Amino acid sequence: MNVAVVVQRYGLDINGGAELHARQIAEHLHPGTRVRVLTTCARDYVTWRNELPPGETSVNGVPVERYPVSHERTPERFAALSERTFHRRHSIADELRWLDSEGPVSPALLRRLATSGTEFDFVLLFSLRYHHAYHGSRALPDRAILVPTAEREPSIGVTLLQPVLRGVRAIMYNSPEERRLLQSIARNETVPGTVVGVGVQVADHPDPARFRQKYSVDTPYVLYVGRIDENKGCGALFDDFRAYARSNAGAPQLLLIGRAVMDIPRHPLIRHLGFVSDEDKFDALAGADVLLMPSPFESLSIVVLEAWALGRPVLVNARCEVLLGQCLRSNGGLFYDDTAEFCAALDALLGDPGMAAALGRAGRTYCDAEYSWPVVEQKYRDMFSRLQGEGPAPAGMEPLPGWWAQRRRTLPPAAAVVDAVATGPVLDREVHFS
Amino acid sequence: MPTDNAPHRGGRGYRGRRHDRRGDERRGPNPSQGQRGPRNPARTDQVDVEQIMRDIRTRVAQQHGIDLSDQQIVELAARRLEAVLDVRTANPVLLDQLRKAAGARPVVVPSAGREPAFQFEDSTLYASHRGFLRAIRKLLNPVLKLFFNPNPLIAALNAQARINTATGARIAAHEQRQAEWNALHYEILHRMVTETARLSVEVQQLASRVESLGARVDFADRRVRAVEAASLEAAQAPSRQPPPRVTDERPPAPAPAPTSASSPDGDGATGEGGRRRRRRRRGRRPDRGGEGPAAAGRAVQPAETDPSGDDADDFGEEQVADGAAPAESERPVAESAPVQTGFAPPQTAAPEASAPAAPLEPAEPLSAESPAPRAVAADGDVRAVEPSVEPPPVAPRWQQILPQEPAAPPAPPREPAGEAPGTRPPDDPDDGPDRNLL
Repeated sequence: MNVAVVVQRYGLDINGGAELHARQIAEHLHPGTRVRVLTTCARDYVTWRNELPPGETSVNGVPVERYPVSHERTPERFAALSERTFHRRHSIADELRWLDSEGPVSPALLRRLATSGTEFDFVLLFSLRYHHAYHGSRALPDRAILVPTAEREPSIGVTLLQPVLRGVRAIMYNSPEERRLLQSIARNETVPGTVVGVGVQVADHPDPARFRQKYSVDTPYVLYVGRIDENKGCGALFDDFRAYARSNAGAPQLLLIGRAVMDIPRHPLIRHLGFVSDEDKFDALAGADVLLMPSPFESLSIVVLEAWALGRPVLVNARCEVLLGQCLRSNGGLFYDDTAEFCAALDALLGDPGMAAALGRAGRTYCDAEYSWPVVEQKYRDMFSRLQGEGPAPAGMEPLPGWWAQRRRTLPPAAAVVDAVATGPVLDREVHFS
Repeated sequence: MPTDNAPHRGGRGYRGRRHDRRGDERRGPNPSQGQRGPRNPARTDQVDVEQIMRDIRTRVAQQHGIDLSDQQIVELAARRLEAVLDVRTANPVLLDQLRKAAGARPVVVPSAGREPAFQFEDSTLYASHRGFLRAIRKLLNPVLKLFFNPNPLIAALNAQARINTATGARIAAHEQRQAEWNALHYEILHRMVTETARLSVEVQQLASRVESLGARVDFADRRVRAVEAASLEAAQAPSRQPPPRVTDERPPAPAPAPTSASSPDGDGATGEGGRRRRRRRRGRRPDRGGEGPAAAGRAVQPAETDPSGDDADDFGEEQVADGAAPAESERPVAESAPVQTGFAPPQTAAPEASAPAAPLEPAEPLSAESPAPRAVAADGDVRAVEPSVEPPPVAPRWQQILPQEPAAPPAPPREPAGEAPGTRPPDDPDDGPDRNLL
């Protein structure tokens, strides 16, 4: 079986969520399936500047074809079109211009897909909101399997994407919440889909003592792993943790792992370790009392899954419906809505090691059942087999409207479309993971 | 420890829907087991995040009424500051100046050195910006000195100029210092009021916690006594003689003033456990009085079902849910009897009056054979006796000794469930020595 993985960026040094997801999927499917990656020469997701050489290369044994981007993103134009598309009544033409301004626009990549013929049995297209996923899906609707990696953001409400969600052969969702979101917007329940996510692989024998010795950590600690960014909820995390430390004399340290793009407050219990190796990260996770995940927008938090894989409980932001749903489905962590709940939940986790251990065990069980690589690989292969058994796609992609219809500004703001979708965690695990 | 929020276990909410969809293996712990799942190491894998979060949110909600944000505390302090700075006793203009001074930078008064110092020298009298005039005056100066001596005038004016400069500098420094002091005083006052407001909130919070913990201590204490009594009864049950069968006649009245050691049981308050309980009760409720004639009726009421005190409201449902509750409801009957007989006035030894004290035989099963005198309901619950069958209340001896005490009112009809909150718990055997001292 030949499978193409189409993603906006690809490489060992590219650690974006969807890009890493695509690379892991490609590498894990590669032993039993002929996988070929089609991507761009871009490395920066803001400018889409061509930084990598075009042509064919190999990454971890997976063949990779890179195609140049025709033009870089213009932030001003993109912002203006985003404002019009997200918050005003607009037209299909506006949305097409918005998609073109977002990029990465690579005509060569799209030509490669359009002329691939029957070379690939299936084409895995990552990141719904990008140019390549939209046009790639329209170019090969009968072989396109979409991996949307969608979050609850206005771009998901763009009307242009709804025919794509209804016209591809299958959709691999990251979470039940993502599935509900996209199905509510596009009404594509008939499209085959399954909740897969990504596999988690952690160190077999993490050593917390090694981490403590290496970083001179001699007290209990709670951990945050990821980009230290206001958009990731780190500002609120610092406020919440300081409030907790004020009211608890025996508060643990808050260790931060990751690149900081915001000021970290000076506090005797807050310590930034910067970038660490995977080994140190797993050691730190294994020794942490709790992993904190304050981000309000996550499509799938790999570090939360890694903490669960190591048997550690998590404390997540309840405003992120995906994390909230994962905690409720797994019984592997607590969540909070405000500072008072943060303090109470953290106090409960730190004050009751038995409960924390039980949460960690439940999280590990959940992670093993849903996010281990054999499970993820099998779900992909099952989908391939199912689609091959079903034969050609029954419906196909809906065509774009005519020239005049594309210019009629009758479409609702994309943000309003997303806001109209129900929020909250999806609790019926049996249905959505089937 | 029993769950604090057991009544909320079945609370509604969006997460509650999950219980209907999940299998039994993923449901939370059974409330009847009295232990929260994750707290019990033996059942740790049945942890239920929804239940934990419900408990946490309940605790947060309980504290929310007294927790104030910093902004709220500042607003509260502002109102208190208005009360402190009463405009009827202080000059409003001064208060305004104080407030302005608190928010403004320190007042900078121009110092004396910055003012143009007028130096009065001997040539000042003849100075002019016109050079020609200044030259004429200088030329005619010897002629002027022929008419009068200008030197004393020059010296006096010179000294006055220096005095004015020094005084101005001193006043400026004083005003600047005073402005800084005003700002500092206002800031200190403002901070003190803010801190006072914060502390008062903390005091309220701590008072609530003390009250809650006190209730828990009471409840735990009573549970300990219940367990002790149950264990004693269990240990002595095989060796105990079968109690005499009670027929229609009233049980014999107890001795007028038997000591606790002479109780028919002799085991409820004579052992080490009884002494320990006595010490606990004395230390914990030193000032509870109000033991009146109604105590004769209350004597049959089990301590565990006594709603007096704070814990009755807090732990009523835990008592119901507790599997040991029936045993507790039986045990205090045995405990209460010696006390009642020991401190009741002699008149209470009449058969009718002693009817409430009939359950002196703890081993007697609470059956239908001993209905009214034992004040045991048909369902097995211990009930208070009807007030109509009680004798006229007679004040106990210790109340008669106290001249300032008003005459004890007649025993009011009591509720079957217990007595009014805040009154002395009935039939407490550990209160005996205290009352003897009176």
